Amino acid sequence: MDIAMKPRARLVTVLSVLGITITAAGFGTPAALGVSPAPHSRPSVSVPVPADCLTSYDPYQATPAFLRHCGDGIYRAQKVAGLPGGGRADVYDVGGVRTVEPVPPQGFDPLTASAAKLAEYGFPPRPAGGQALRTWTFFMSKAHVVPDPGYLVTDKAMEIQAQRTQRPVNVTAYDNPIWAGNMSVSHTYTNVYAYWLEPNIYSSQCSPTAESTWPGLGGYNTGTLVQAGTQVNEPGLGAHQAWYELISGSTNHFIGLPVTATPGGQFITEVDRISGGYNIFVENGYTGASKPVTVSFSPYDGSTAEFIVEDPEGGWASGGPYLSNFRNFEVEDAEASDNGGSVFHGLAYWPHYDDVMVSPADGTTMAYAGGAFNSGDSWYDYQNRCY
Amino acid sequence: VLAAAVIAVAGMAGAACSSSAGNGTSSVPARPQVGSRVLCQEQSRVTAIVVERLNVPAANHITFAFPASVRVTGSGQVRAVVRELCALPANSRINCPIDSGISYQIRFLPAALHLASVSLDPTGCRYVTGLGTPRRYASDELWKVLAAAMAITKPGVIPLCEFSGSGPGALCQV
Repeated sequence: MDIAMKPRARLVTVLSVLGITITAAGFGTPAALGVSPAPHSRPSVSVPVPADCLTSYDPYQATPAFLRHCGDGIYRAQKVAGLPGGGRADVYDVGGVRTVEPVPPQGFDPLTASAAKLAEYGFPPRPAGGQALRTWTFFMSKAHVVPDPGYLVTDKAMEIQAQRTQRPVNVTAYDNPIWAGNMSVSHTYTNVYAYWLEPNIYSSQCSPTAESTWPGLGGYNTGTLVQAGTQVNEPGLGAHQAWYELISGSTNHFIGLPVTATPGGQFITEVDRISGGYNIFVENGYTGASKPVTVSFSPYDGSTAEFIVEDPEGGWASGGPYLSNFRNFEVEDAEASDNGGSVFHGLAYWPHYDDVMVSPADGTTMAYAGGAFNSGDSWYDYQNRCY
Repeated sequence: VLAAAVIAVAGMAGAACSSSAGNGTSSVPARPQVGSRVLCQEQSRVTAIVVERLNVPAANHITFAFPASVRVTGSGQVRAVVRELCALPANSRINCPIDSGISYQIRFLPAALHLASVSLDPTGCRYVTGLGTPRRYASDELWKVLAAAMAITKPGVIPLCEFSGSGPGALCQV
């Protein structure tokens, strides 16, 4: 597919401001795009975004013209590399983050693959036993990697600074305006996955509304957070479309993936810390459509592992959307490992906090995780109010 | 819990609106709106600022070493804060680190200018609202300048962490 790379105007501006140069195969630099770099280091910025781009759309179904109209960042594969065991890897450079989408060879069966082959193709490691192994087997038996569209689309990039961390705090509930869920603490976590029934969205008295659902590592004690999940009613993504996001002291990448959850159906995402980066895996357990991604990203905060429902964009009180009415949905199995993915325990089995989404308006609970069962790996998430 | 937030959100949002049934029945508070006149168009006319801390979640037991409201009148300090705010890049995030709920609101004087107040979040999305286009801070520099203007700078303490507070539920997401 011939798609010219033209990052969104605000992306280009921000990257220019931050001195970042996109080097994907000669595309994407401000010069290549005919966009002048910012004239000085910290300008005042005001970049209009067309109104029709502020709606939900699947970037892999949208036309190139529409993506260009919205100024979305489109990153073509720099190269296609053969993998030692067969198959191939499509390699991207997304704002300096090396991103690999492995495509296993025909006949690849994760159920019988070695640990090395699973890692090579970006699949989650096989747990040693317990519910984690049963969940892994369920999803791996259905998994089929969706065709790589040959490009990645992003609309977020920024740079901030990281300077220090702080120890987890000794509380069991944490009131906050944007997160609801269980968050494991007091260990250094290397892997987290969650298998949930994708929320159905019901009518609401609030408008606009949105929600995102994701497991991730970090984002509590530091500003470093690596997460992957689904979301509803956010600009630049289709309803229930999968995504991953890398946030750190220096970078933020938000990437949509060509996999969509089925409301009410099983969905799993896993984030695995590997040497120098992460393996990220998403799968619609209803259709089997899956996508493994390997990213080079050194920032790492393993001090928490969480499964969260979020009121995105900072929540309504920050000018973002109100929280969607999802009533409730079941988290079938959400677990984390602190030993590289061999032994997992439920997020509410580990020492954990209950993150309670509380309204900045009056302190009313907006969303929360109900009591956990099955050794802390299952619970229901409830929405109580949209604001 | 979050008692002060009622006032804060009302202040940010203006009049609340109500809507029909669905997920709840009470009035829905309006999301923050940008005032009719924003700071960066009038920055040279600002003579003082008032920095107010809002939305401290009581359940998280966070304390602070400086008052909840601080007035800054020194022209150099005021100019430095305004300059820093107006230099912030535009951007947003879709999903963010956890937000402690704490925010700071800066009001600009004289009141006759009718400038929209600006809101800063020391955790979470790192948003700065009230400047027209949504913005966010890209480094600790804004908090350094603000701490210096408010004369609350402490040796060895990262300004962002000073604004984030201390105690069991305090976060310092640098």
